[in-house]
Amino acid sequence: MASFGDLFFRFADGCDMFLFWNGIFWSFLFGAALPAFCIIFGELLDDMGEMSAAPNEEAANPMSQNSLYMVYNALGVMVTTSLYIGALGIYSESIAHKLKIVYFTKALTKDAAFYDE
Amino acid sequence: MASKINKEASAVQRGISEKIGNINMSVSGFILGYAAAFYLGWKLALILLGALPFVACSGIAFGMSMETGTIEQMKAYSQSAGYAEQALQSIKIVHTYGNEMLEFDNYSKYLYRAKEKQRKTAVTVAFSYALLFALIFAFYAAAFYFGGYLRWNEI
Repeated sequence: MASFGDLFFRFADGCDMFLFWNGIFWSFLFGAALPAFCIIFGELLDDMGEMSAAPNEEAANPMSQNSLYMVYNALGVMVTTSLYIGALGIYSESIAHKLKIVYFTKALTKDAAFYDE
Repeated sequence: MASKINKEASAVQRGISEKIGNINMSVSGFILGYAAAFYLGWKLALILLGALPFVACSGIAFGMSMETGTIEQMKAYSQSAGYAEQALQSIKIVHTYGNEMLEFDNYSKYLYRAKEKQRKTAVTVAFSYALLFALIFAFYAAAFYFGGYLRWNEI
């Protein structure tokens, strides 16, 4: 009887494990992107308050700095999302490929009685 | 045959149940969202209308890469699947003549093609999905920046 962990690890070679842990790592970082977004959002709200308090004589828009951070966050999201989806996609395909081979081999070598059910 | 009837009927049923509501919700959200945006602040709405083609393109790219990937992979797997079905249907003959290894070779000969296809699909899906997410976040930033810009310069 295969356990749940076997699904992930039984057919995995070194390359698969590398991809798997990469997927875990980058998806963790992707999860960090939304809290980061919320923090930057809060900073932008502070900037808005600053904007209404001060007159518009300075040249720079007070929201530009945090908007830039938000763009960096978006770039981070792009990198982490593509890495984790790509890594886990390739990893899962590799596992499924091996599973297909093992499954078919086992099915072929079953006793004929197995097929009579 | 009976299970096929049930399968296809339930596919139709799934297609016409809440999916219709989801589509309607999305369309009304789209139209009313833009209407409200243009009513409340047409300048900012006009600037952010620039997001629409990018988001639409990346969404379409995501959907297409998913769809073509699935079809390609099915096509690539169909030869192996055919061999497997053939072998398992006449399993007793295979056993009688001891042809397990031959059937196994037939099956696994073309199996790598499905793997290669799936690998390509994973990469394109990953990039289009990442692009979609990044665009949403990036246009949030653009909205804040241009909103601040309009307010700051009293335009």
